[in-house]
Amino acid sequence: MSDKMVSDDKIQHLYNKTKSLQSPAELDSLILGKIRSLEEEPAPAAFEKYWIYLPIAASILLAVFLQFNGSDTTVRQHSQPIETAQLPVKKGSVPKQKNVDKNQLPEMFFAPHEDINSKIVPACNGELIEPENLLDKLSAPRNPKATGKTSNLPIKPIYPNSTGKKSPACDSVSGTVFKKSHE
Amino acid sequence: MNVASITATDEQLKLLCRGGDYAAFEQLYHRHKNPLYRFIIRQCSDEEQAKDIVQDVWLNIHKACGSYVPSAKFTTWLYRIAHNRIIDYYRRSAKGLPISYDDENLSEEQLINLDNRYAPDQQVQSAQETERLLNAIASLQEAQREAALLHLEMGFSVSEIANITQTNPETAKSRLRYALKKIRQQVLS
Repeated sequence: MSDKMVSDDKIQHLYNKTKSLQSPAELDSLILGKIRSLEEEPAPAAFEKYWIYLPIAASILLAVFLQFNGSDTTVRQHSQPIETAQLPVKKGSVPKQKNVDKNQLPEMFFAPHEDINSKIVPACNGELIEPENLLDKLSAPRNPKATGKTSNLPIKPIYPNSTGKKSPACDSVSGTVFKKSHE
Repeated sequence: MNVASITATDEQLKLLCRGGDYAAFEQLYHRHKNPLYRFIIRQCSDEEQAKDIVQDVWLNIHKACGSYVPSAKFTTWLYRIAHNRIIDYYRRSAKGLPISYDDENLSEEQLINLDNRYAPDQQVQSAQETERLLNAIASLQEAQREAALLHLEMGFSVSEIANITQTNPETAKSRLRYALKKIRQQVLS
């Protein structure tokens, strides 16, 4: 065991003699030069990376500017009317009214209250009347002459009950069965 | 370079590097450039390739400054990076990664056969003892040579060699034992 240790020490001693081999000076200057250049690089690189935020900052500034500019409604009311480009007017058509205040809604939005009520007309005097031949019209195939063919698909009954028969109209609340007006 | 950086430990200097202290990095470089150079050049047959690896290792050390955590010794970290670069070098070469790095899965007999592959054409012929030693190191299998160089150059223990070469301590111990045995046989015979 002691011989082994002595020989190991001798090997180490011999190896230490080979430590005279050194890193070449040109390699040192190359490596340190590269690292020095890397150390100096970050300043412009950091500045350059902020260029990407420039359009975002500009759009934010523009949005803020427009927000403040548009919030003053008194200024807008007294502002000059906006000139708009006009298409050539067709013969016989009514020309558009120029310089209309765009904040004002057209008259059609202000229908009188009584007018709206007057347009609601009761369908009948308390009776539900089925229009003539309505069921026949609905169950008939649509425009069979257009294609020249008739569909083989079965027509789904309007009243899907088990018998397939038409159920008479009835009031769902009271259960009163109404007769057809033409019967 | 101030006085504090001259007396500082490697780990303290590395932390200074993390803060962008170029002088600290330069100090670290001058401390370790020669051992690292010898460690790499004695494993690569091509001197230019070895210089490229040395350069690559130092650039990697500089790049990884920010992520360095002083949990391990700086030298362990440095030589681990060097080991990885040497493995990359072997992989890029025509022969590929030497089989000796797979010795964890090789039997005793396979290892002896592998030794015979190296021994005949690289016999120690130099009369000078130091040259005989260097020739003996050169004739070792790659993985054993790496273990021997880590031990002789930097005085790393078995556990540190295992950490650097990313193997288990048993494998590292085995590699170092075989390497030193062969060196003894060739140098002191």
